Amino acid sequence: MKPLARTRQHSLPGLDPAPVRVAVPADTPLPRARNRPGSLWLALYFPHLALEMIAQEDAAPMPLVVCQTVRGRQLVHAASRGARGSGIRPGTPLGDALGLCAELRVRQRDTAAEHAALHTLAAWGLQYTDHVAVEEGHVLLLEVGRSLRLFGGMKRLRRRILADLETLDHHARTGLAVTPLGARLLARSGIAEPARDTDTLAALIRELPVEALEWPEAVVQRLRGMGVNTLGALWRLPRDGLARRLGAWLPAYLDRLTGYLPDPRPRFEPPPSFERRLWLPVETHDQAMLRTPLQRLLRELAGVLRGRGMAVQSLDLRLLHARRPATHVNLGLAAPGRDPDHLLALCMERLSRQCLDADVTGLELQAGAFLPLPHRDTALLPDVEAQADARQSLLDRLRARLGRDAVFGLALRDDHRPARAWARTDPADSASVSIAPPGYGPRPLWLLEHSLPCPPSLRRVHGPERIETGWWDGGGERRDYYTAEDRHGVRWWLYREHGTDSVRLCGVFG
Amino acid sequence: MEADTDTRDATGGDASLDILLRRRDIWRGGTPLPGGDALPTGHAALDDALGGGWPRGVLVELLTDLHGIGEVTLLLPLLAAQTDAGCHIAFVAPPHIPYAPALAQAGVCLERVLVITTQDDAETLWALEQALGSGACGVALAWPGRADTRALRRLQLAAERGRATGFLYRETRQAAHASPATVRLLLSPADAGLNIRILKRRRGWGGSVVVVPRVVGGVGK
Repeated sequence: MKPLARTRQHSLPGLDPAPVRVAVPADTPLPRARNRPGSLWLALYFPHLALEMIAQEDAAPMPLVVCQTVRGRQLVHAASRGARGSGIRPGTPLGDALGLCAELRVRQRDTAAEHAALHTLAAWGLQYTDHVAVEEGHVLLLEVGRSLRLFGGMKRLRRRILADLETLDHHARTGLAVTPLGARLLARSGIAEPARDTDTLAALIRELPVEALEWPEAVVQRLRGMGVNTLGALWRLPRDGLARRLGAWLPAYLDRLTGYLPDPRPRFEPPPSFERRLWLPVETHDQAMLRTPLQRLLRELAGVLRGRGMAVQSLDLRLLHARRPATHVNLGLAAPGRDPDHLLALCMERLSRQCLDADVTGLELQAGAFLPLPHRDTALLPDVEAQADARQSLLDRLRARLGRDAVFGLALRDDHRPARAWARTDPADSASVSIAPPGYGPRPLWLLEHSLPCPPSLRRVHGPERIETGWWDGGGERRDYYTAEDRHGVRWWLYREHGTDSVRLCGVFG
Repeated sequence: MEADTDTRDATGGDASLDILLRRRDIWRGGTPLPGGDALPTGHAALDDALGGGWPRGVLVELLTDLHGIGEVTLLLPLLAAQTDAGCHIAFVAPPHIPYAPALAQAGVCLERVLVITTQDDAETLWALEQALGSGACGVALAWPGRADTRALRRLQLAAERGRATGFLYRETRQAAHASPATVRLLLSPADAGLNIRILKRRRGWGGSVVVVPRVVGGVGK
C-alpha cells in the first residue's frame, strides 16, 4: 500500500498515471494530507435550527412543529420532542400532524431568520478562533487547530463550545477532522469521534453511504447503479474513470475531503452590529416571561462581543406585537460593558417600568455601536477599582429603572447669582470640572425651585448680603439676601429686591 | 443611676458576682461598649451619646416634622468626611434639590454626590436599597414617605451588605411605632441649635438628650 501512496504523492496533480488502484484492498490508506500541519476543523451542525428560532419554554413545553410549503402542500419541516412523541415526523403533512396531536402549535418556517441566526452564531464562534466559515445546510466550520492550546486541548474546547451553545438553547452535532469537508461529513453523519489524521478519517467514513456526501441526487443514483454504496467502495474506483463518467469535480472533491488538495475556506467577517430576533413560544404580556428569551439573546450578544473584543454602551430592545408596531425600549450604560448578567438585570429593571399595551410575540435585540472594552490593568488598589465598578453598576441600575434624568450629580458654577451658582451634571461623565467654593456668605442646603411669599414674624439671623451682578447677560440681579428664623425654629434664606419692599423666601437651611 | 447602684452592690457584696461581672462577655447596659465600627458625627457630645459616632452599615432614623431646623446640617461633617475618604453619598428623593454651594462650603466633595429623584415611595425605597447595597455609597440620605417594617428590614439588610449608613427622615409620629432601625433620633429645634433626643441606639440605652449648636452654612452663628 505504501508504494502506492508514495507514487501518488510524488506525481503532479493532473499528470496521474493510468489507473493504478484497480484492485486495492479495502483498507487502502487515503492519500496523505497536505494540509498545513496542526490544522483541525470543528464542524458544528445545527439539526434543529428551525425549532430553535422559537424561544424555549422553561417547563412542560407544548408540542411544536415548524412547517413549510413544499409544492403547494404544508409539510412539517421540524417537530419538537413532544410532537415527535405523538408520531409526527419531518415530512408529515400538516393536516395529518394536527390529527395526531390536537394541541399542536404550528409555526411557519422562516429561512431568512435561520440564515441570520447562523451568521450570528458564526460571529459568536469568533470567540474560540479567528477563522470561522458559514456553510450551507446549517453548518459552521471553526478552524480550531491554533486554539487548542489556549483552551486546554481538543476535548475541553469541544465540551466548552457545546456547553456555551447549550446556554443559548442551541444544540449542535460536532465533527472534528483535519479537513473542512471531513469535519462536515462527520458532523452531518453524527460521528463524534475526532479524526486528527487522514487514516482515522478514512476509517471513520469508510462505511458511510454515498448519500452522506450530500451530492446531487442524480450523481448518487448513478453511483448506486454502479454498485457503489459506501464511501469505501467509492475510494476503490479508478479516479480517471470516475472523472470521465461523473465529472472532474468528483475526484477533486475526494481529494479535498482527504486533504490531498487544499481546501481554503473564506473567513467569516462579522457585521459591525448585532441584530437578532427571537420568537416567543406563547404570546405574553408579563414582563417576567421575557426574562429567559432575553437572557438567551444577551448571552449571544456577549459571545459576539467577546469574539471581537468589544463592548456596548447602549442597547435597543424591541418588543414585537402581532398587528401592532413594536414597543421600543432603549437602554444606556454608564460605561461600555458586556456582562450578560448585568445587562439582563438592567433590561429587567427597565422593562419593569414599561407598561405593555399588547401581548408580546417576539423580541428583537439590536446593538449598534460597538466600543472597545475599557482597558483594565491589574489594579494596584483593588478597592478603588471595585468602588468604581460598584458605582457604575449602581448608576446603570438606577437609570434603567428611574430614567436617565432621575439620577444626577452636582457641580459649582462660577456665578454669584444663587440660582446660577450650581449645575446638574451627569455622574457617568467623570470629566466634570470642579471649581473651588467661593468665599461667600452662608448658603442654605435646600434652594427652593420657586421663591415663596414671605411669612410674617421672622427673626433676622444673618445679613444682608448684597448680590448685584449679571447686568451684562440680561439676567441682572440686585438683591439683599438675609437668613431669618421663623417661630418654629426653621431657618429661611430670603431676599429683598433692591429698591422694593417685596421680600421672598428662596431657600431653607435644612 | 441604676447601673451605679449595681456596681456598688457588686463591689461591696458577693465576690463571685464580682468575678462574673468582670467577665469580658458580660455586658451591662449602663456602660457603653468600647470599639465597634463608628463614624464620627463631628459633634463631641453626640459622639459620646451614640457610643462613638454613627454606626456603620445600619439604618438611622431621624424623626422630625419640620424641614429647615438643621436636620441635614447635622450630617454635614459626616458627609464631608465620607466624600474625602472616597465614598459616594446619595440623596434619595430629597424634598428639594440639595444646593451645591452649601455642600461645598461644608467641605463635601461634589463629584461624589448623587441625587436620585423618584416618582413614588416604592421607587424611593427601591433606589435607597440599591444605593445602600451597592457598596459604592458610604452614606445615603432618604426621605422615604411611607415605609412598612418589611421595607425597613430590607433596607437594614442592604445597609449591612453594602456597609453603608442609611439616614431616613421620617415623621415624628413614627416614634410610637417599632422600627428595625438601629439608631432612632427625635429632632426638634432648640434656642441654641438642634435638640436631639436619642430614642434608640446601639450598645446602650436611649433617653439622653443632646443639643448640637446651630451653624449657618458652615459659619458658626
